[in-house]
Amino acid sequence: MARDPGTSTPANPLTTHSRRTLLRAAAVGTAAASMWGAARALGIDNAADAAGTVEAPEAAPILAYVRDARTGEVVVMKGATEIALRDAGLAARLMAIAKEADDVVPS
Amino acid sequence: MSSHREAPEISKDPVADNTDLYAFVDPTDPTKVTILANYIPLEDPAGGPNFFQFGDDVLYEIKIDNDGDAAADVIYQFRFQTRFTNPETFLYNTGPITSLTSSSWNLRQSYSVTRVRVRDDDDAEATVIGSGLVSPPVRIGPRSTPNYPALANAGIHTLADGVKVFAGQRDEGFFVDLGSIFDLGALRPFQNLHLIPLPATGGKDGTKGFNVHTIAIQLPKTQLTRDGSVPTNAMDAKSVVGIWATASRQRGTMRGDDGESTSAGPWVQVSRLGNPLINEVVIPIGKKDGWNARKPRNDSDFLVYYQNPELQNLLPVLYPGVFPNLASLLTMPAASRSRDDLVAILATGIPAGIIPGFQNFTGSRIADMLRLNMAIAPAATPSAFGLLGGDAAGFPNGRRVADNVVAIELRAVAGVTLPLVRPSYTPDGAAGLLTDGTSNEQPYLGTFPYLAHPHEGFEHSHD
Repeated sequence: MARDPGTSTPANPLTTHSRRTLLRAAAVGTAAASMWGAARALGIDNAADAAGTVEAPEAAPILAYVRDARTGEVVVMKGATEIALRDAGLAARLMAIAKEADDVVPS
Repeated sequence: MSSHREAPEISKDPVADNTDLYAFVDPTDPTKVTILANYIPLEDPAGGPNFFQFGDDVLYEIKIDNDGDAAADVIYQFRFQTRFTNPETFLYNTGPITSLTSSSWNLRQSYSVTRVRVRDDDDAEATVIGSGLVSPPVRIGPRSTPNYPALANAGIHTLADGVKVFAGQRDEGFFVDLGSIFDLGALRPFQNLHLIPLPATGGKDGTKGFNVHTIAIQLPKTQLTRDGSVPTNAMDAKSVVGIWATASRQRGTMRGDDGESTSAGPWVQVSRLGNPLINEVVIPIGKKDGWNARKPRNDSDFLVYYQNPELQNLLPVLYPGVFPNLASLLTMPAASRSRDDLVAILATGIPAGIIPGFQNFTGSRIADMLRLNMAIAPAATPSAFGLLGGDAAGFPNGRRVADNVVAIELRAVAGVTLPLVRPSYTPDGAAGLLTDGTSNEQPYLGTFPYLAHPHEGFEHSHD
């Protein structure tokens, strides 16, 4: 077969629904943004061909990270899925918040 | 080891570390194939109070390609769930565990099995074929887990459509002289001939006394073939399947301040295994982590490591004068002495016309899959040397639990199989004798799940 299921990382423009999800994610996930920016550096770009079979509940945590600040690429993850989009404004906001986080002394 | 701690990153994540993969036509029911995927290397049997267990946050999968493109057509997914019945005790169990419903068993794991049939592109059908299946407790000791075989056997579950599963602790059935092999490639039976010689001795099984966690599944062959047929003709491409096992983690994990963690995102493959010892000794250290994340169908850029394996090149150096023919071969430019025999055995399958009446070729695509010709019946008298021993039912036609894959691959790499593609080459006499001198200390079981019951923590020692 040509491809295993459940692993796409869509680069297409977001649907209205997924954009709403992203905005919610931004609210929840800003604190995580700087942490997840490091994921890019770790090189974990490749999705496995594992097929997630469990639906994520509405209350499932949402994680978001800036994959590439230069291109404005932001990734939002929920359940066993992720969606990637280019939103330079959002990426810039997250990066600005992350910069503020640089000034926070770890407890 | 076969694939234990074989790459830098996965060596830090044992719960997701594939260690061995076995696949063979079931000798007790030749209409079926048994596949065993092992995880968690070198479990110390006494490792309590939080004994070894599968990861609730790991997706374990067994994948089958049945049309030769090295992409999964049938996938069996295993997801685990842990719960404790009494959070107010530090104990794994508060009394003897005499059955899988025993109230004194505190920390329990259950699991689900999902079959995914992949069609084209993103089209796949997932069916949960088992849920709430109990994984037996680990083997602690005579007070906690008396009559362990009965306890473990109760964990063999029969599902619909002739499928049988087991997931739990087993004896580490892979045998290898770790201590010697990783001491500059020494084989104790021949170490008097090593560059740094010591008196020859018998081998020491470095995995002796350790346990592992096994996912075992027995499947009708008809669930594996591309058209649901019963494979009867060994020369028919439809009789051959490629099998590999993986472990995946979700891309993101958030650690909370309360000790809990949550994960989100797609499953990212962190470990895989088809043939034994590939990532271990064929793939160089700088590429091992990437290899673990790679899908087999994208293995083509690893071809050079099969064609000109480092271990082959080391043998004449480590054992001066023992491999004169191999040493002579290595004076030729690498491009003119490609080990196409190893490519066939380990990366494409053996095409028809090489070994009379046998093939397990899946096409020219380079891919690490354990290839099994399901039309080959189980051997009445199996040889631990598999195909090298004249037994086409053994490795590298699938892999049985007792196959001596270390010796088979050592001999192949040393040149025993090179005449298959280079008839003018005469293997060195020593090549056909290579062994690390080990065997498994425990007899294997004669029935599913074949690997022996685990070692008991109570009896375990390092004396």
